[in-house]
Amino acid sequence: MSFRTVFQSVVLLGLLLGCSKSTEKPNQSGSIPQILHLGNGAEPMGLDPQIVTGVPEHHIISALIEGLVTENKKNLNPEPGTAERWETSEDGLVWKFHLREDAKWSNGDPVTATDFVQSYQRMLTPSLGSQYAYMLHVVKNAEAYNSGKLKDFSQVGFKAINHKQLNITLKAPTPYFLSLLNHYSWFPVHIPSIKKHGGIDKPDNRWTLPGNFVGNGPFILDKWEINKVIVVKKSPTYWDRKTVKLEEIHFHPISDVEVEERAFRSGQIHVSNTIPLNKIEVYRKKDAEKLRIDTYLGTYFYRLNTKRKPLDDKRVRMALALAVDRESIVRNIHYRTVKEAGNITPPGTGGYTYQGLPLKYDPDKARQLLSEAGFPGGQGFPKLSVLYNSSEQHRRMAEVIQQMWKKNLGIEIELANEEWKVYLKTSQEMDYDISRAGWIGDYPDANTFLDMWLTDGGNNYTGFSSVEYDKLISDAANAPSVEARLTLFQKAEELLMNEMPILPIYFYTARYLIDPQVREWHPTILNHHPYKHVYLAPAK
Amino acid sequence: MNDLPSQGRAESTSSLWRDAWIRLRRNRLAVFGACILVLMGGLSIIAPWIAPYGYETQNLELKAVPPQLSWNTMQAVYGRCTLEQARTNAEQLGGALGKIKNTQVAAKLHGTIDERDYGETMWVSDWQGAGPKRIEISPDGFTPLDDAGDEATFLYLHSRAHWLGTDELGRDLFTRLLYGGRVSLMVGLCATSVSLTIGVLFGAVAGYFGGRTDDLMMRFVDVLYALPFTIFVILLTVIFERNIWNLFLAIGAVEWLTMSRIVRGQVLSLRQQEFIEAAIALGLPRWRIIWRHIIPNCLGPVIVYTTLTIPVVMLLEAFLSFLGLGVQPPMSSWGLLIRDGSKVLEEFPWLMIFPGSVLAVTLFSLNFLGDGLRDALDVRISKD
Amino acid sequence: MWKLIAFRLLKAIPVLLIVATLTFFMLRLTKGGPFDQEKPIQDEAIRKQLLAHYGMDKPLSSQYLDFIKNLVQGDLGPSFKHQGRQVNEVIAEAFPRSAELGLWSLAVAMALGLAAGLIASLKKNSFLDYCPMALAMIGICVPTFVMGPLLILSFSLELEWFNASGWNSLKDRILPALTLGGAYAAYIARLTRGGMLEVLSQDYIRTAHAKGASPARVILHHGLRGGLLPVVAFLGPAAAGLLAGSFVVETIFQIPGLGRHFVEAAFNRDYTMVTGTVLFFATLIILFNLIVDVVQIWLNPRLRST
Repeated sequence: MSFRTVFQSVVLLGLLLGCSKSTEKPNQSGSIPQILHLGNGAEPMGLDPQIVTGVPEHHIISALIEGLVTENKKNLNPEPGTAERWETSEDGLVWKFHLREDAKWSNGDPVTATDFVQSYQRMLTPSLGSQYAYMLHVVKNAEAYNSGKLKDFSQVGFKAINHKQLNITLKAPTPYFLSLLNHYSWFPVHIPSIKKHGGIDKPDNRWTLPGNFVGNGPFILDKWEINKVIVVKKSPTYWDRKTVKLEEIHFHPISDVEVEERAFRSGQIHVSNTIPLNKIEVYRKKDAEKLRIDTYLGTYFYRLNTKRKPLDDKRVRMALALAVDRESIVRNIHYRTVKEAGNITPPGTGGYTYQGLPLKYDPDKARQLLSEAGFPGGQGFPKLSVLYNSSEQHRRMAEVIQQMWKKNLGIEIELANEEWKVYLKTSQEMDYDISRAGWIGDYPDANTFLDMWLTDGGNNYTGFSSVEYDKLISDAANAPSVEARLTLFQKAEELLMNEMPILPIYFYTARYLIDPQVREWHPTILNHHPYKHVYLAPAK
Repeated sequence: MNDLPSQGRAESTSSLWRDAWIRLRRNRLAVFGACILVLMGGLSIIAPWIAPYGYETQNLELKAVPPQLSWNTMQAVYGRCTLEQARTNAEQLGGALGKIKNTQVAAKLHGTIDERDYGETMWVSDWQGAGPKRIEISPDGFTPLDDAGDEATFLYLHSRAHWLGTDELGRDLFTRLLYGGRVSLMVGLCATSVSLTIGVLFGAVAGYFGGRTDDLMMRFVDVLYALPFTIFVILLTVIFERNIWNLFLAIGAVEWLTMSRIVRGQVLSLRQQEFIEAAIALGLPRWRIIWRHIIPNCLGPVIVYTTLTIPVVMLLEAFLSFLGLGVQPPMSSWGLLIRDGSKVLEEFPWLMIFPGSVLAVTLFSLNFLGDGLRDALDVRISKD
Repeated sequence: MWKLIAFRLLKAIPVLLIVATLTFFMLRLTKGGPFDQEKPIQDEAIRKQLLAHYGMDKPLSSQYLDFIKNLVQGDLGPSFKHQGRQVNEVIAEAFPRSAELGLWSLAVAMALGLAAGLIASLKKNSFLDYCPMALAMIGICVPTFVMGPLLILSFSLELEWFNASGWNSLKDRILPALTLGGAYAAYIARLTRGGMLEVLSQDYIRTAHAKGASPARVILHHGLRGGLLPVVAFLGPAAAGLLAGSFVVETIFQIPGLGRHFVEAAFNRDYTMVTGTVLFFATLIILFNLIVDVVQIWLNPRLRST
């Protein structure tokens, strides 16, 4: 065989393969099939809205099930969903929801008020062990029933007045109640299917598998192959099916960011879940219209263990915070895609923006505080370690901050990375000095960022405890007016920032890639994109 | 067929090793390979004295700079820090600070200067740190002008070279490779010796005794093969303090398995050969037969597999370090550098190419040396 | 021979039991459990309910007995991570894909590796030796997590011959099989060359040559028998590993195979899934090591006496 024949056969093979270019590609010219391909991060744990806890799960469930209200496609404000209208009593305690006549489950059953009551009963059933059950605790007696202290569900504030009217009685006026309803913990589930496929309180119930799943949302579950794809199809029974333009959505569970970016570049997905940091500048230069950076309700910060020396000294904590050059981090590590955080609550969260003095980069002040605390020039400072979970990004951040502390304060810090679950245990057992953390708000309200620093706050893990702070937060929960509530939050956060048990670094953004063919995909603070409005059209 | 060569081998071991040494020294490729390896080891050991920078020293303003050999390379950067801070930064890096009129020019300057920039002015401090002075970019380089001003953007005149470029945190890649060699070569040497020793002994014993012993030993190997490695590693990170010795333990624990199976296969077949049977018939002690006759005769595959194991071990180390076992950042290793480089091979290819090449050169040298060793130890070939 | 195989399969049972037991306790010893999350379960009662549901509230000893009891009945239990799925189902769904990729890769590895190794050993110290061996060494140096992206960048994104990810058409098999097979081919080539050189210098080969047997016959009949021993020993675990799937390659090419479950289950502390995949892999290992032993006997008939 001569070189020439080898070469010819290689070319021939190439042509053969080349001719039959992939048919999987979604973006072809001409009329575009209304099939949306989404990169969806990790493989979802499940699709039972009363069991799951993650973001990828939310994306899929929000296509399959609709709550009492839905979200405005641009600002996520509550809009009529399964309930066509609602009214509230003057004291803000009783909410009456009127379900629409044509609301149907995907098997044809009508969606009734009883369905909602039964769903909430399941959510609160202690033996189900639902982790987001606390989202319902704003309702009268819900917490008591959930913990098993109350056995009689009729005393919980959910009442089906008739087929189509649902009354919900809260334990206190909750200004953000309607936005809570868009959290999947408030979604209805089809109780008969759940009973049929394993029982009410079985977390590994099989009702969520394709063929079994019954929902009331704009799409129905069609296919689910683990680690491959989840396909949902337009629902023929959805009340607002005229609005729905997409025929199918394919959720691709691609957890590796580089793999996802390549899939996007080759046209296999329309919207990615995220983007590798080093690709940001590339897209900015070449395909700026494909890069989206949306404000997102989350904060990246370091926890300081206030129970350990010398971090029990406020001055040391403040010195560490002042010696971190957030501007440089944001510019050099994140390519200016995130915002420097001088406090914990992202600006504009439910109408709240922190007004206190922002945390500045001030190495001189930091050195001064450190020497006041007894460590002039960093002398005698013990070798603390920064704990983070194994990931490229967290490592880079820790390396940078380690150098900043070394340069500005003269202290040596060591880095300790741990595998995710080990890291969780170590942080939650407070067996660390400094630990990286992040917090994504569950709902757009400052409370979700501030109530975790309560003395008995479930996610505190810093040892921070202040009677005054606890009082401010509980006063805010019972505040007479919205303004008074926000003022109390201001005071609380200022106190927190003076004590500095946490060291805020930056506010998250949702960074992702999007094909210009995708329409009605608006930037929203929770990164929700109500799919019933989304469609594909040729790029302009 | 006769068993004379092996008989000879048994009786004059010392001369065998001496002959082998002579043959090895005559093999130019093998000597070359050995020299390269020694050089690499040596450079890694003296890294702290010869490295141009600290392995952890960052300069975020000079992140991901391509390799540059020339001194006085210009690097445009922009930022909001004060003139004073910028100057301190620049001086710490042995460079000097400059300022430039507008950001467009700064952006254009990223990398090199071309004709379009002639006539632009900027603020720099001079090489001795005095200044700042105003200069103009001209075809001859920089022409000094009159006096000062204050702008939001600035320019470093970076006066030291980064031969292999910098990483994404602006750390010198050459330096990090030098230091990384310490970890990688050590892991390669130690973990491989562990796997070599256990694997060869285990395989030789199993193969020699055969029957029940062999069966039991090989089932043990099957069990170890099947155990979940990731869980094992996580368990190690939890139970023990993180240090480099646990890394050797973890790697040694898995890497000897295939080696033992290869050796066993060889030994089983050698066991049937006449010279071994003769040795047994002569009543030589078992360990002596294993040590003197069996092991030398399966050195070929052993050497080949060992040289193959070393790069694998070096790459495995990166995975284990990632899980929290082994080296902690900012210290690095070749494996970690390759791992990081693989994520940016489109944007910053030098971060992949140089660590990869170092690994490749090491592997080639090892193979030259390995082949040389194999030939040198092979009595039969030497008679050709 | 058949007796040997039957005995070995019988002995697989205690091996699997030991593997299962060790895995069970290793998992429980490891820090972090299946229900540890970033926002942990605050309510102790809810936590207990969840544990009770998966039988994890009982003392470890009775958990272990339950586990063994179910295992004997072939029930690996429900996955902790993939709610509503049985481990058996997940493995049944993922294994055929990994096995297919494994077979393709094995074919690539054997074809390339054996050919290169044989040629190199026969033409020792010539161009035909150096060239394939240099390639093999580069193949070993370039790990799959570099080779995979390189192939995708050039053949999928530049030339657009293949999909950048996915596992749908037959074409989607090519790049992953090359990536994975290439890595193994390098090993096989080196080991074949080493093994062949060892054998070709043995006395009985010289004798055969001296007796005037044709070179081809000498190589095929005598040479390969001994020369392939190291490769065969290597191939046992390697083939088991290939069929069970490669985490790296399956991740890079977005293949929903068993290799990903193997690693991800460990990270998720999906206890049942880990034990399931481990036992599955153990079975493969035992099977392939048995095949290797049989092949070794076949290659070396004198072993039959033992």
